[in-house]
Parts: sequence; C-alpha cells; structure tokens
Amino acid sequence: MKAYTQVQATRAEKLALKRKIALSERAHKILKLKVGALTIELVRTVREAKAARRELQKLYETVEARTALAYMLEGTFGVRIAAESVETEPNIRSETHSVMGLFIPKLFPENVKKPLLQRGYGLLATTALIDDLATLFEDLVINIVTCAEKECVTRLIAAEIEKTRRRVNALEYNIIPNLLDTLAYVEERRDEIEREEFSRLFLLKKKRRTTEEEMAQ
Amino acid sequence: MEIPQIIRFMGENGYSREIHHLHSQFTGINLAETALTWHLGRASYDCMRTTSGLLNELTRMYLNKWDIINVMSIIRGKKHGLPYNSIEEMLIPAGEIGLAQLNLLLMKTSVEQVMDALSHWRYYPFLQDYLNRDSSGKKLSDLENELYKKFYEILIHDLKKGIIGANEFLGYLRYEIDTTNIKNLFRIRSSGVNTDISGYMISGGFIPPEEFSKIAGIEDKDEFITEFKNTRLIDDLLPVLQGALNNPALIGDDAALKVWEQWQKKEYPVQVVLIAAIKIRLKKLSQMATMSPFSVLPIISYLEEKKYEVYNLRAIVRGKEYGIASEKIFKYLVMPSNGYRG
Repeated sequence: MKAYTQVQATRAEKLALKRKIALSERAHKILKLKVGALTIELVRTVREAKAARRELQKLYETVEARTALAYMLEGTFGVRIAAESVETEPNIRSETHSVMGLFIPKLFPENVKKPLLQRGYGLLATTALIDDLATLFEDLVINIVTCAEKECVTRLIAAEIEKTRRRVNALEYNIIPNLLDTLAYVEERRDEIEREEFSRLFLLKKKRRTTEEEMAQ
Repeated sequence: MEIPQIIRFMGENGYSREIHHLHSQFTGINLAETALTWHLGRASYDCMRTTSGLLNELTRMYLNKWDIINVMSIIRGKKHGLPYNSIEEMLIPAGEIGLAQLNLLLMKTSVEQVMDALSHWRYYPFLQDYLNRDSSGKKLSDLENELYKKFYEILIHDLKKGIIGANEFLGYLRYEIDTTNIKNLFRIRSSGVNTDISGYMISGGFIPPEEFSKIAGIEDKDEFITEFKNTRLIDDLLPVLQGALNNPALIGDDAALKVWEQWQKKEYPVQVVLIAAIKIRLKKLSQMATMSPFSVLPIISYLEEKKYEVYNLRAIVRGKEYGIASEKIFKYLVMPSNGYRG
C-alpha cells in the first residue's frame, strides 16, 4: 500500500479519511445497485433486440423474394423507374432519454410509410407488384431503424455496465481497502505518537522527580 | 437452361442482331435484358418503318405509350440529378421518339431543358402546363397520370374523326382502358386510401369513370353484387376468373361473389388472375385483328405479343438469376392459350 505513507497522522486527516470511506462505501452501494438495474434493463433490451432482428431477417427474406419477382415481371427499368420516383426523402428523427443516468437514443422514422397516392410514381404506369414491393421496403426501412435503435441501446447499456462494474470493482478492491489501510496506518501512527508522548512525559516526570529528590538531599 | 444457354438460344432465334451488337458491352443477365429491350425497340421501329399513311400514324400514336415512359424517366432522372448511364438504363426506345433523340434529351442538364427540347412532341402542351404550375402542384406522378389519360383521350379523339377501320381499334382501346381502370380500382381499394378515385380513372372506356367512383364507395355485399352485375364489369372479369380458376363453368353470380370476397378483404387480385387478364386481352386482340386484317389491329396485336414475348424471356432469365424454380417461373409467363399465338 503506497498511498498512506505520505499522509499525516493527524486527527483532521483521520476524520477526512473516515468521511472518504463513508462516501466510497455509499458510492459502491449505489453503483452496485446501478449495475443490477442496468443488467435487468439489458436483459429486456437484448430480448427486444433479438426479436427485432428475427423479424427483420424474416422481412428481409420476404423482400428479397418479392424483389426477385418484381425484377422478373417488371424488369430492371420497371423497378428502377418506381424507385427513382420517390419525391419525399425519408428521414430519421432522434431523441434521447435517461435510463439510470445513461442517455439512450430513441429513433423515429419519418416520411417512410407513405400512402399509395403519395409515393411519387404514377398509378397508371405501374402495377400492384410495385405497390407491394414499395410497402415491403417501407416496412423494411422501419424495421431496420427499430432494430438499429434496439441494438444501439443494447451496446450502450452493455458498455455502461462494463464501465460501472469497473468502478464498483475499483471501489471494492482498491479504493476502499486503500482508505481502510490508510486509516489503520493513521490510527496506528497516532497510537504510536501517543505512546511515545506518554513515555516521554513519563521519563520527563521521572527525571524531574529524580532532580527534585537530589535537590532536597 | 442456364443464363448463358438462354443467351445463346436468343442469339440463334431472332435476337442475334442485339446479342452480337451488345455482347462487347454487357455480360450475363445485363446482356440478356438489354438485348430484349433493344429488340422490343427494333420491333416497334420496324412496324413504323414498314407502314405508311394512316396505319403508320396510328401505330406511332399507339407507341406514344413508350414515349411517355421514357420522357418521364428522363425527367425524373434529371430532377434527381442521376448520371447519364443510370437514366439510360431505364429507357426502352420502343416509341416514336427514337434512340438518337432520347440520347439528345439525356444530354440536357435540367428538367426545363428536357421539356423545351420536346417542343414538337404531341404532349408538349401538358409538359408546359406542368412547368407553369406553382411548386405545391408540381408532382411528377400527377404529370405522369395526366399524360397517360391524355394519351388515351387524344387517341380516342382522333379515332372518332371517321378514320376507316378506326372502330375496331377503338373497341380494343376501350377494353384496354376498362381493364386498366379495374386493376387500379382494386389497387386503390387494397391500399386502404379513402379518396375520390375519379382522378385516377381513365375516361373513354366502356365503363365510365363515374361507375368506378360509385363502386369504390360500396361496402354492402348485395349492393356490390348488384352493381357489379349491372355494369360491364361482369363481362370483363368473368372470362378472367374462368381462366384463372380453370373453371369454364363459373357463372356470373359465383364470379361476383368471388370478386366481393376480395373486395371485402381489401385484397388485390393475385398475379395468376392478372396474367389470366393479360391472356384474355391478348386473345381478344388477336381475334379482333383476325376479323379486321386491314385495320391497325394486326400491328397492335403483333406489338403486344412481341412485348409479352420479351417479358416472358426476361422473366425466365431473371427467374434463373434469382434461382427460382422453373415450375414457378412458368406460372408467371403469359403463354398462348386457345387461339392466342403468343
């Protein structure tokens, strides 16, 4: 233990150390609770992220099959004409909210899902297959955003748990034992100083008594 | 067959000119699809080249459909700032506006310049009208719908001027308009949009747009079936359903009930029904062309059949590319049946 060799074995230092220990123990307790709460949140988010990913995978396979059908029946030009017709660009709005002091994002896809008549392509030059494909792609974009949000939140929570766990461990295995050792050292040193003072006074008293007896003789 | 074998087959069966011309620039699926597109363009060009007088005029007017598709693709491409090659890939030079002129349009840098370069085009006034609109009313989808409606309107107007043999062509056009309107009626219904559909219906068919608007709002079964049977819808849809369900004994009431089931569920007819509808249309066109051999209908019939030949080949090569089973690809082909040569 290196820290306590440099401290002064004073009463003020002892009181400060005691305060530090109390604070560290309180922080340790709170951070441990935070890890627990974040772990519960993580389990919930992971479950949601897994479900979102599974759904995305399923939808992606449907979209792939339907895209193949669209290319088969409408040709490259039919699919591309519809794709290039989009006039309102999709957008993603993001907000953050706090979970146990951790700011996690919430994503809102905007202008993604559009009604048939606002998709930008003409109704008279396209077929229902294109409508179907457009609807599926809109759903896919929404699912990608949802999935990205869930996975991002999972990663953030996991990183926060890791960080907090490191803090808890540092407090538990390093800072608090160090402070306790320092306190013990200070107390030990103070006891030693007290003993030295006592024996010094005892010797002084003894010497004075001896001097007084010699003077009296 | 695999894709290279199909390309070889195409090269040996009528597509040799396109395959040989394009094989240095494209390979595989892109070669096949571009060759098919070019072939369709050549078929249209040959029809315009070999006809004269009235037949030529009517053929050109009918092929304006492709011009609308191409012009809209170029306008959209320019609006979104797409590069030359990307827009070029979307073009099918099968209309009156040839490849050279389409290339000139592709060189233009803005939508306005493209529209100005089309000042001689039959539909230029509608483009100009679009340019004059304020920004809130400038939707390309509206312009596209409008051009399609004008295409039929102008064609029907010219045919009614007393051209010899125009009645047969007019009959086919009106049938084509009806089938397009029926498809769009179901499309709008299945999309769940509650809007006045009259703006999306083409006028000039046997069934007036008002009838479609009336049907669009019906939610009651008896009312729907009565209305369905009272209009020409039953005449158009019965053979389609008989073909799709492979049940020639299907009668009007049963057909109306089946259509109601889909209508109620807000479902769009499955692809098999749509393919059956195309087959019926082509068969009808072929029969009309046989009955009026000196009208423009044999040319229109040839062009439509050529279009579906190209579409079938495209479906086969694209299906093979995506690893779709041959039986499944076969289901989506518009194959000849009972008199339609294909």
